[in-house]
Amino acid sequence: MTSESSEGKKVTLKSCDDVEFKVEIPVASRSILLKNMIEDVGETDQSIPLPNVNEKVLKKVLEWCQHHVNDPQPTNDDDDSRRRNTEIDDWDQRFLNVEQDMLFEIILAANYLDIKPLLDIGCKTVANMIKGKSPEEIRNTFNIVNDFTPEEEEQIRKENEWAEDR
Amino acid sequence: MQRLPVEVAERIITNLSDKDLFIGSSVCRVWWQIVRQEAYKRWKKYACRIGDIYKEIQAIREREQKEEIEWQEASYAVEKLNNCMGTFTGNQVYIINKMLKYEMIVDPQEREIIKYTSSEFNWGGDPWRFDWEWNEWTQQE
Repeated sequence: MTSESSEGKKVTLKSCDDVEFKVEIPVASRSILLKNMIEDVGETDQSIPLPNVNEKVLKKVLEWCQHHVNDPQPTNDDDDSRRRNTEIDDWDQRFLNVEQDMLFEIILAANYLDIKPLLDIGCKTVANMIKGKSPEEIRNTFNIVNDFTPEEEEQIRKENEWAEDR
Repeated sequence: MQRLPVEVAERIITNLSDKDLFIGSSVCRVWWQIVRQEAYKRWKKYACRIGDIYKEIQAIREREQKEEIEWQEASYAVEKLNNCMGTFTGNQVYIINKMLKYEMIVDPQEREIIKYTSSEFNWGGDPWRFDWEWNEWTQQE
């Protein structure tokens, strides 16, 4: 379904906490998951359940989709180049200027809904946050369990000591 | 907070600079693997760029020989490209050295190549032997 043919038509999305959002199909179609669902199901009055996204996050994600509704859909070809491009535009920077938990929720939602450009800018923002952090701080930030053995950790610590310089 | 899916961790690590990349390897085993993959990709990426620049230099030299461009213009262009190549080589040597230090290189031959490359680079030589020519001097050697 192209954005021209679907303009004005709406689809209902239902968050995991049972809040419904009526959104225009081109806006919802920024998500590849929703785009495919809409294409497969066709026009329907039934709401699309999104069991992994709550109201607060869905509202935020839809705000991003609305702002970027006219952006070209990303192709697999420019996926790598977009990842390497470190620039985040001003609007997106302001958009992602949120609490850390909210930022991760947005990233997880973008991953689930398959919105690659949003996922990319989210990951870039997190990558910028990692700069200068210790492995322990990164583990705490991402809720990661340290699965290295004490011997391996000792070795890593030694390497870190002298691997700082080129 | 939910656990971070591997594909998301991969995207975050892809966005880290060369300098910050290896901090991620000390986080956990999964991150260590992702960092290793990413480091290999960057190693290859720099190798491709260096190769492309070398081809560009060759093309300029050929045009100079055919007198299609002035030697000053050719020298200026080659110098610029050489600087560029030096930067990429520095970045590449940095990546491979870190990979070596973080035990990411398993193949003994690969380890030897890295050690040789690093020492050549540190002594100001051309680690890729682009300056190597088949002539009487090299034959004697």
